[in-house]
Amino acid sequence: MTVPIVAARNITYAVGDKILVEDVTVTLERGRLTAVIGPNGAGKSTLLRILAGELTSNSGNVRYLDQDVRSLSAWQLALRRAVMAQTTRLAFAFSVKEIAALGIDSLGRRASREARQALVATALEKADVGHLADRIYQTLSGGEQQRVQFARALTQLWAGQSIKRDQALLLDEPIAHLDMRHQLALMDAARAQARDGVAVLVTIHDLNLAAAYADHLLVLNRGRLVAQGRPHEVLTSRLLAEVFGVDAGIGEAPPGAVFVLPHRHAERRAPGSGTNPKPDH
Amino acid sequence: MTRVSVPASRAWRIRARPERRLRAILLFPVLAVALAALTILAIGRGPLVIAPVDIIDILVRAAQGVDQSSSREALVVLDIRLPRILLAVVIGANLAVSGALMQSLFRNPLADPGIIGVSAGAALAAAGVIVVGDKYLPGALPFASLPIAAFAGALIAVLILYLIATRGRETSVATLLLAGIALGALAGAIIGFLTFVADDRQLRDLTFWSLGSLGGATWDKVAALTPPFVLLLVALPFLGRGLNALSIGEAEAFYLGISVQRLKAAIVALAALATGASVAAAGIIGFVGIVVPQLLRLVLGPDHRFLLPACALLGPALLLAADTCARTLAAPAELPIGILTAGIGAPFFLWLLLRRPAGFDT
Repeated sequence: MTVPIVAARNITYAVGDKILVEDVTVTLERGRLTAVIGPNGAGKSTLLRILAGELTSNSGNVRYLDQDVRSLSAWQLALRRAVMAQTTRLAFAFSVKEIAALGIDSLGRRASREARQALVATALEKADVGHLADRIYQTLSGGEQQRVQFARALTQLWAGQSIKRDQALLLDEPIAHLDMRHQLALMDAARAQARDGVAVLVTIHDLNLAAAYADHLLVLNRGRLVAQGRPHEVLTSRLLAEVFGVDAGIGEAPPGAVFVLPHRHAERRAPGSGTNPKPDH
Repeated sequence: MTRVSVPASRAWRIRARPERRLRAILLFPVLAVALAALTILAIGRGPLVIAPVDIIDILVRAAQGVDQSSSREALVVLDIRLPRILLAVVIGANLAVSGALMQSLFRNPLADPGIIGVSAGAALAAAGVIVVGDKYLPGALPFASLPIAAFAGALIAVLILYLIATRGRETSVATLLLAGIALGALAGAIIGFLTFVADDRQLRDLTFWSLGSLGGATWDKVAALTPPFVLLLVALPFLGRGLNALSIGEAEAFYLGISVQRLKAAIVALAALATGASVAAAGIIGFVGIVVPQLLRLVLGPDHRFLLPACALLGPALLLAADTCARTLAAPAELPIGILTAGIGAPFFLWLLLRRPAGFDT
């Protein structure tokens, strides 16, 4: 196997005496879409921010190919990975295309004005916000804003591609506020990037979409990596009960494509007993 | 590669509505011409009215090194009005640009150099010199002690704030803002006490200085203000991209490849230097730092690559106009310029807040 684009080895991250990520070893491979699932507070975002080089782990290390993340400057990292963060609060009234263009302003100075504009336009189109290009960002809905941020991440990724070949795309809950069509469209776009050779990491709460799109699934619980592998290997009723505390069945149709069905929860609630279903271990 | 093959219509649409860029291209010559015209006009106004043609004549001859000491007009222009006008230009640019810098640092369009306590520190140091220094060292204080104290006070205030707000490598903007407000309140209390114990003459000094004035402009003051001003201008082209990225968040700016800590340190240092130098030369002149960037944002949009240079043109024009009014409206007496900038600036600012379109929640 070739050297992974991003490799984290035994990383632990703590704030004070609260351990947020504990002894996690993961790799982001070229051309692979990796999804991270786990309950709220499991450390998914923290892990992503460590991989992005924003947070420095207390122990262990993160490498981009053969270089330690700490030895890379901000702009060197920006060439190697694009990040879409969970919430972005804007200070001033930038337009949608100005936000997307931020991705190339920092990196693509050598490109012509026309080439840069074309790249921004393509990214906006990919995120289905081309028709909003001249709107003020703050006037958009939460889901639209999220798509604009995705367009910005794509712009940065593509701007860096002319300089660095091996890149990662890190998306922190990119579909949290999206409607179903745009959830699928964004995951399609993320997978298309993976097919182009980018190492993609997505944190996600929708287990069915995670199962449908991920080549590789990571399960975090209380800062620890409790399972990883192909979705149909990882997703089991037992895991859902242990990690998420839910009682849900796993279906498989077509073969190899798994889905999660929380029907037993729904059935138990139906008589109106009002008691919370407890997972049976 | 698929990403490069963009339909021609797409590229066209991106360029189809270039209002902001177009406005920027139009605005710069307009502002520059307005500033030049205002400068000539301002030189001509005063007890001795001088025609614009004569002013240009005098300036050209001065530039050629011709001795004009026999001409009364030339003496008035070169020794009295020109330094004052240059002072207004430099201070106007300093205040407007450092206002814009502070606003992007705090990611808050209402931030101002005054808010992180730069002005408070300067004011406290100067008030201390006026009252305490005068009481215990009567007559022993050189004239320069006031500006130096104001400058030092500003720098010390920023330093204290930075020490409070910086933990490890991270600077918390919220802490910086809150600490700035606390420090400002403390400085205000001490200044209030100094006002209480001051005698009549000191009180007049205190009032005049705290409202700001460009009176007493000399070539020495202009010379002292030049290095920080030049430094600020040289730095501007390198800050635009970083400040734009900072507008969507510190983490995001880092993701985009900006060295955020270094950028923030540069912003604080430049803004403290520019504001400190200005306060030292002319006292506290409020509202230029808020009104100018905010007005330009409404016209140009928030792109700092256009905003900062535009601030460096509109700030001087505004302050020059205010100062010309200050010294001619109530002639031979002179109004403190702070009354004019706040008197015009504050209602104007409120009007801006009321008329901003929906979505400009900033």
